[in-house]
Formats: sequence, C-alpha cells, structure tokens
Amino acid sequence: MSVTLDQLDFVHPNGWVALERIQLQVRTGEHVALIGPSGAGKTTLLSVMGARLAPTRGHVTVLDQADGMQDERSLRLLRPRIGSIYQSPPLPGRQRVVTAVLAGRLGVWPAWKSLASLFYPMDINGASKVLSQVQLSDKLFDRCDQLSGGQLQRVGMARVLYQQADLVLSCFPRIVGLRDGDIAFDLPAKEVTQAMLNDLFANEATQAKDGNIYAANNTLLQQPA
Amino acid sequence: MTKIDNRRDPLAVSRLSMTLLIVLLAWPVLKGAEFNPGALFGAENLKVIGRFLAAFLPPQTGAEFLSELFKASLQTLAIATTGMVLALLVAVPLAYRVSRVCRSHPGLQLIMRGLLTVLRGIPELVWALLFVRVMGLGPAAGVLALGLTYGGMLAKVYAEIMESVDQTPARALQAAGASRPVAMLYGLLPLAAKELVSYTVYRWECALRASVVMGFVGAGGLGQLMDQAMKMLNGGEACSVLIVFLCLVVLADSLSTWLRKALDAPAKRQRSAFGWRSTWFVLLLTVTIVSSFALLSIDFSDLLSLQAGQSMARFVSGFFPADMSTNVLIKTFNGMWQTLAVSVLGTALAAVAGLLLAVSRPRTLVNAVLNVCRSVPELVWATLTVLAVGLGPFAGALALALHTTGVLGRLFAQAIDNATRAPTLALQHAGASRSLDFVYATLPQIAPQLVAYTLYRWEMNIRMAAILGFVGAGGLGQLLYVALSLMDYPLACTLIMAMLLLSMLVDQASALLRRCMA
Repeated sequence: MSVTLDQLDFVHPNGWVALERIQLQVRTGEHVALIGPSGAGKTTLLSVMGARLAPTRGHVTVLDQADGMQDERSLRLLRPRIGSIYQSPPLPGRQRVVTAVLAGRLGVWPAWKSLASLFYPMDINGASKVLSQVQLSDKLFDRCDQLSGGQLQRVGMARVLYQQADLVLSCFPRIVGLRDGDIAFDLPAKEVTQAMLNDLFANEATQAKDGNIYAANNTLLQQPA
Repeated sequence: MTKIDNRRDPLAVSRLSMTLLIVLLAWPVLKGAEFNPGALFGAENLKVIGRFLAAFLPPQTGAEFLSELFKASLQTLAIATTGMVLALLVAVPLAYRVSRVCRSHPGLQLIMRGLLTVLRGIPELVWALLFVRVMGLGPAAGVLALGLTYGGMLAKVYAEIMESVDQTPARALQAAGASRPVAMLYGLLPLAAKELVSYTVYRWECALRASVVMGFVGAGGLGQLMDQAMKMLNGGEACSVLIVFLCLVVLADSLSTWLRKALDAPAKRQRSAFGWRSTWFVLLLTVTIVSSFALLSIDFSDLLSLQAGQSMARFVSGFFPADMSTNVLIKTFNGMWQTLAVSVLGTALAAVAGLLLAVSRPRTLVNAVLNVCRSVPELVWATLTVLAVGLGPFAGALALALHTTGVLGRLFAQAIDNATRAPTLALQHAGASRSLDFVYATLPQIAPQLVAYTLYRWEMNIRMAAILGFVGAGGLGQLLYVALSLMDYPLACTLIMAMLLLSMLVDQASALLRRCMA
C-alpha cells in the first residue's frame, strides 16, 4: 500500500477546517486524480500526503512510514522518495537547467557531492537523459530564465523524474479538460507530455461535482463544508 | 542518445580559469595587506588589547567627565546637522546644473562633473585635516569638510535620482511652455521627492558617524574625546564615549527609519499640503538647525574675510607643484597598492563574514552583533585593531572588515528575506538539508544582489582604506598623515591626487564588474 489515510482531519491554524474524516487508500502502481473546485482542499490533501503538513487528527501512512513524520530523521529518509510537481515551477531564474534538474537528488546525495555539483555538474548524463524524456535536452546548459513558462514546467517534471521518487504528487493545473482517457493539455510537444502523464498519473478520472473531492473510481472523499 | 552521453559542461573552462585568476590575484593582495591572522593571537598583542579592554570596565562616570561627554555629544550632533545644511546648499544648485533632465542640449557638463568627482573623491577626513591646518582646531573644520564631501555626494545622487524617474510629465509641461525649473518642480519633483528625502535622511545618519570620526583629526566632538582616551589607553573613558556614540547611532537609525515610514503614509485630503505634523516637523527642524549654528558659533563672516582668503590661498598654493620625483612616485605607488590591497581584503572578509552571519540563528543575537559592527566607524575600529595586531595594513583591513560586516550582513539578511520561498520549500520537501537548499534555491536568486552590494561597498571602502592610515593602519593615509605633520605639502598633494586616482579607478572597475555580472 503506497498511501493510507485513515479518519484524517486537517484544521488550519486560523480555525478553517480544510479536510474532514478523509478515508483514502492508494496502492503501489495506481494512478489517482483528485478533482474538485478551487478551495475544496486538494492542495492541502496533497501536502499531507507529501509529509509537508502533519494532520490535526487521524492517521497517515505514506510509503510504509506510519505517522512517523514528526521526527526529523524519518522525515529526511521519507522525503526523497516523494516527488512534487508544483503549480508554478519553483526554479530560481538564474540557475542553469542542468543544476535545477540535479537538485532533485539533493536529499540522497552526500553533502560533498551536492556542493561539488555547483562547480561542475556531477551527473550530466543523468540530467540529459530525463530532459530528453520531456524533449528539452537541447536546453541542458541554458539558464532557467531563458525558458518559456511551458518549458520551465517541463524542467520541473524532469527534476521529479530525476529524483526517482516512489510517490509523485502533482498540483499541475494546466489540464484544461478531461474526457475518459483523453487529456487536453495546454502545452506544446503534446505527445511526449501525454506519454509522461500516462506514466505519472491517472488517465481514468471522473467528472467533478460541485464542491466535492473525488479520487479514482468515483470515491467521494469529502463534501463541501 | 550517444551524442548526448558525452556532453561536457561548456562553462567548465571559463569557471576554472576564473578560479585560477582569483587565486593568482589573491596572493599579492594578501601580501600587500600583510595578512597575518596569527598576529591576533600573538602573546604580546593579546596582553596589550586584553589590558586595554579590561580597563573598559567600569566605564568612566566621573561628574566632570560626564559633563564634558555631554557637551561633546551635543557638539557632534551640531556638526552633523550644520554640515548637512552646508552640504545641501552646495548640492541642490550643483545637482540642478549637472542633471541632464529637461535639457534639450546636454551642454558642457564636464567641468561640473569633474568638480563633483574631486569634492567627493577626497575623503571628508582629508578635507578636515586640511581645514584644521587653515582654521585651527575646532568644529569649523569638521563642518566645512562635511559640507564639501557630502555636498559632492548628494549632488551626484540627486542628479541620478532625478534622471531615473519618468521624464514624460516634465517634458509635457515644457512642451506647453513651462521653463525648466518650473517643469521640474511640477513634473519631476513629485515623482522623485520620496527617494530624495529618504536618501538625505540616510546621509544625515552617515554625517553623524563622520562627524565623530573627524574629531580624530581635531575637529571637536566625541571623536576628539575618543582620540584622547585611546592615546592615553584610558579604557574607562573610551568605553563611556563608545556607549554614548552607540546610543546616538541607534537613535539616528530609528529616527531615520521612522521618517522614511512616515513618507510612505498616504497624504490626507486637505486644502494645504502642510498638515500639523509637517508644520511641527519643520518647526523642530528649524530649531535644531538654528541651535546647532548657535552652539558651534562659527563665524562664517570671518571665513569669508580677505585675510582668511589670503591665508587659504597661501596654504593651497603651497601644495603646488606636486612632488613628482621618482622617489616619491615609487613611495606613492607602494602606498596605493597597499591601500588597494587593504580595501580588497577588508571587503572580501566582510562579504564572507556578512553572509555567514546573515544565515546564522538566532536572529536577535545576530542583529545585535551586526548593529554593533555597523555603528562603530572604521576609524574607531582601526584604533582597536591597531592595538590587537600591531601597526600596519592588516589592522586596516580588519577594521574595514569589522564595520563592513555589519553593513553587508544587514543588507544580505534583507536580500535573503526578500527571496522567493517556493524553490527552497520545494527542495526541503524533496528531502534536501537546510544548508543545501540555501545554496541551491536561495543563493542563485540573490547572488547578483549580493555581488552588487559588495561592489558598492568596495567603492566606499577604497576611500576609507585611504584614510585608515591616520591611526597607523598603513597605506596612503599613513603617508599623508606623516607628510602633513612634516608640512611637506607638495608630497601631500601627490598623495591626495593618488587617492583621487585610486577611487576613480575602483569606481570604474566596480562598474565594469557589475555590468559583467548583470
């Protein structure tokens, strides 16, 4: 079992109840899409699954680490196994693409290697391989601020690919419409990213109904507050 | 795929050669500044500085000394205020003349710009030293020195600020027939006013520090007391002076922060631009200025008299022609090199220390350290470092480094706070440690800013390095101090020209480096 959420609540510090009694199981190899209007709590749910937020109540088991997220050591071991794709790619403009991609493994690399890599990239082949998967291998040594928004988003994906995470969470918002199996995608190089998406997350997702969060197979996770 | 697999980093060669170049340049710089950290821990030096610092406690609190201290503090405040008034009188017309805004023809600005360069290229301490020779010991020398240097500095920055705002409103007024001054008042000043005032307030704060420093060459105020205490190794008095001085700086700092914040507040809707707050402020300012002039009781008419003019002319003509003998030139060149090395080493040490402090925790402790470093002027630090590592350029480099660490540390910390958090959080959530996510996510964002701050500071430090020699920290300053003491004015002239040349060279180099980094 990859992720198990049991009777999970999350209350924001200001008292806003974002998640209430969430029950969710994701098995290894499974793709799940979360659908719901903005403000429904999708990102909060992903943050809890990604060990970024501790739940207020209930149990979380991520990649066989049960509730161990509060202590620093197990967190350090767990986090490199979770990859995240963000709404806007969190890449410093003046960093080179190769460095931005290699930064995906900072949690695994020994400190000396991470530092040395700032002076000479320690795994050019590895970076170039994942970049070619998103059709960007010609941008290997360009600076991030020389790329377009779409290209930058693909660099962010390449970083997650390079991280070799066991669990990938995506807040990528640019999926503009979903019909069974067909994903309309607001990016050039459609085929490649389509293939990647198939690899990364769901292609069987269901229509959103107002205010609810749904997971795969139409499980209703939460009704609006 | 096979083609991809053999790719090399195209930047590797240039990076390697840059590193080699820096290492090659570092050696002569370290040598020129007589870099010797071991001296900090030499038994003899430790004993001297230890005894001196031990004498700091308890601070001197004798009634007689305290009244003297109070008078000196008032005098320092008055020198700073009067000097700023004079500087404004110099700066406003000069800035108006020099600035290119609202001019159809750029005109011949070369002479004016040259005048500005000379005014601010020669450090205020050197001006003060010269004026002390003409007018004798006392605050008048300090006031005039401040007026000239800060006048030059303000004029340049005012002109730049006016050139940096949107010109179209003023141009439109001109096109409708308004004259240049009126067009500037109506179309330009509203846009530039905030920045102009904010910079002026900041400079007043600097003037306060500078007026303390000028006391070291006999221009009165707290600096003179400090100098006496240092020369007699009277730690208790030195400590009292330092405490008062720190309080003044903190006060000025908070006043200037408050003023700048007040400028940000939106104006109330009222008929006149002057509300009661502005009226009070103007009243207070007038009282301060008038009482400053009264306290110092400088007889400006005396300064403008024929006799004063003659003695001034005689004094100035003594400087020419400059001494250009081979012997002197060699000595001057050595002094220049030493000064350059001191400024580079001091700035580099400060950049490293400042960055380390900026990322250190807890924040309150770090801020306290930075504030103390920043509040104590370089020259005061130098009197201490000279005791700690002995006479010579290394003491100068250390003094520069201590003060600059305070300045850069604060700027760096602000830059770090302003950097976007998202990249850092992303790396943390992927398991990176705190130090690593700093170098991978924050540093790339703020690196250009850090470099620019450091280079700006270097431009200031080269001027400072040139005068640290006054308290025995080597370089051009030491040579100049000796030359003036021996009344060898032609030699002094050569040395002052060397200072000017050096500061202009560093300005150019720094501008070039900043352009390369952009």
